Amino acid sequence: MIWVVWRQQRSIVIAFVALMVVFALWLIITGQHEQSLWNQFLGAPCKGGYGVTNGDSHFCRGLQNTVYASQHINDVATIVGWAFAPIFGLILGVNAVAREIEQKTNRLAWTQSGSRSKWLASKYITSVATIVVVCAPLCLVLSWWVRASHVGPRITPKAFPVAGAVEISYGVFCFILAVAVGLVIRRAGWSLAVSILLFAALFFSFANQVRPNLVTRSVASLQSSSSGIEEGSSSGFYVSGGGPSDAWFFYQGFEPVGTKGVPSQAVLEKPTSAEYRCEDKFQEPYCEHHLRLRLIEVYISNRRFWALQQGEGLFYIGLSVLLAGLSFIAIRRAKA
Amino acid sequence: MTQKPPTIAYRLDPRSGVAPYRQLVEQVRRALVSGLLREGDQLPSVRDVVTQITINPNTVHRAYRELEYLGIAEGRAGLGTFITAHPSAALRSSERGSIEKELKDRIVEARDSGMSEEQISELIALAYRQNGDVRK
Amino acid sequence: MIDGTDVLETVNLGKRYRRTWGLQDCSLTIPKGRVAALVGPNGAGKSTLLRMAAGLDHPSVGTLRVLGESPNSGNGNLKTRVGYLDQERPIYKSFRVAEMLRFGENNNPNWNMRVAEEHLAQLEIPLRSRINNLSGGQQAQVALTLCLAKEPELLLLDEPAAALDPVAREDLLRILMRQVADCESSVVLSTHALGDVAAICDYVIVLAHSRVVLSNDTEYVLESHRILSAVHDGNLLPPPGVSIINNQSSARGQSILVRVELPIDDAQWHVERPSLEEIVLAYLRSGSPGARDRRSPDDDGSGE
Repeated sequence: MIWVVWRQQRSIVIAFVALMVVFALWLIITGQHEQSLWNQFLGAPCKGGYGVTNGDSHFCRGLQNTVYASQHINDVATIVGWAFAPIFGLILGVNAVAREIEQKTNRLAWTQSGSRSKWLASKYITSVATIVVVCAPLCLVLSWWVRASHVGPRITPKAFPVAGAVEISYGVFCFILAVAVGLVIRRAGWSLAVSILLFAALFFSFANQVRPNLVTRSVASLQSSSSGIEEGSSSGFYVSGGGPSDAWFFYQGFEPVGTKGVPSQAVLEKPTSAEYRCEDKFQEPYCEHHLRLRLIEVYISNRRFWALQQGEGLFYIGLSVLLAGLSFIAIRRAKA
Repeated sequence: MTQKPPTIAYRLDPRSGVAPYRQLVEQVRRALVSGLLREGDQLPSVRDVVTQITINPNTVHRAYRELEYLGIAEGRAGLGTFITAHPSAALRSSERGSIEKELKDRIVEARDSGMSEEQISELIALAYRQNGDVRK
Repeated sequence: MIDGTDVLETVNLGKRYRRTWGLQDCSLTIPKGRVAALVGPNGAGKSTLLRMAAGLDHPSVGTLRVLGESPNSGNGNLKTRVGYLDQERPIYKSFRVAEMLRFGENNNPNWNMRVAEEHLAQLEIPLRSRINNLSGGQQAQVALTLCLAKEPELLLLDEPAAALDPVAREDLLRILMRQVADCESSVVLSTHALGDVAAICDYVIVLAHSRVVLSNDTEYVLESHRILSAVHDGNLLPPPGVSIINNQSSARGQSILVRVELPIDDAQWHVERPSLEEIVLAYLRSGSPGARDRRSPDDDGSGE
């Protein structure tokens, strides 16, 4: 049976593998190029700014424009990287069940000697293995590329899906989702549309509502000073401290010095009479000192990256197992 | 395996009201009477018949069993079905010649006595069925 | 009533689709070794019955036994002994013929590859062709080969000859008969027009309005029905011992197709033997349950 499933999905797999190879090559080439650009930008003489002398500043500004201009393409590439595994899974899933039912070849398959459960199981085994094998190399390349192209901290929502291995769980889930939806809707086109909508809704809900709450957040205080212009600074107001630059920031605000724990956004942004007087930024250091307030940032540290990946991955795998189980029940009663 | 032309080519008429196996039996009988088939000739095997014409193999089995019952043919295990050299069969065929003549005479008699063609046909059908109803 | 050698046995079988019944009050018994024709207009319930027998649908009411077992018991063994060809003749169009055979081999323990290849060689269908490059008749033959090569005890074929040109139809039926001759398979095939199936079937089942109106050996059906035409003008009463199946009277005279219990002894009627097609047509027109599930005289009676 494995051979039959493979043969049925063969052209889809070949197309996506070709796409994957082309995309991965593009990532490797542009990633390396961008890495060298960033190395130049962050090193002497630019050090992430305009450089020291006038001559340097012209060169460094040009460099800055180049690296920031590439962010648009990087955004597109990030979306493509995010969408690859889910679309691969969805199309495989729709092809596996909805299309068979639409073309009535399930009547051929279900009157051979094996049971319907065996038919479904071999589809799951073959396709899930295929998704893992095809998506894993892409995940590796994408993770490297996210760092090399300075897309952003890997734990932030933009980069998170493509920076680790969670893409594989998206792909597997989408496959099983498309199979289950196909059993109900029984038409390939509609199944694909509905599955896309369901996955998009689920993904964004999870990313926005659940993922930020999967681990405890950290708190760091910010110190602001209006000491003179420092080398490389672009304004007269200098903030130091706060969370690490590779963290996932949520919100900031004032809290009384000595408060323990992680305050909620509502608490931090609650207006206090003292804050009114501190709206003018230049008076901030004065407010903080006299009112015994401190400015804090709430964030999730980059160190929690793999915990988040694991949590999200387990969520999608768990849902997949549940859907798969339901599909085995549904298939016994499904109309041929 | 020698490829001989079939000794008899069967034809089925699905539009007649006669059961297919009986049509085959009739065709064998007529072939015997006309001399197309002789004693010792081998009838086509079931598989050969099924290859020649679109026919249910059970029909051929049935027809050959009927021919055996009538003593016209006999099956020899592993070899096929053959027209018998049985004297009673030969007798029946020559017997039939006189039966046919008698029947003709009787029908002419009945016609001359005033019976209509339909009445005579009905009588024939009745008599035929009354004797042939119980079948194994 | 349950005979161990019946290939198909139903008792009050019915199938409901939302608001309509696809099949109802279906009680029939098909003995082993027959080529049974399931005749009826489109929508009469033929496909419904065959699909249930193949295990693709569940009955709504009644019981159904195929080769003595229930098709829905989850017993995989039954499916190895039954070959089913759906009306749509589903097949993987992007596969090559050889790959379809490999599909059959992978999925059936008693697959006979030699038989499959011989069939296709005889029909001159190359193994390397893609299915969607074959003609309709050739595709039908490949689909049939998938059923035949697993050498099943029972073949359930839903309109196998439909939409085929006469030559293709002939080829298909002949190959089927050869399989019956070689393997002693039983066959139930459905058709909406008796046509050339009349020549090969030895059991006939007529479905009309989702009900069985006739189900018996062809031989018995032919022996037990007559067309009576009135010799003279005028409205005659039919003779005793007959059940009228269909009144085919016209301006030219009275003509009825009847089922006979006793020999007809009435000189006012001219008696003819109808062909199987005429009998089936009469039942389809009348829709009356005539010789429903009655055994022929030489079987042990189990009439209703």
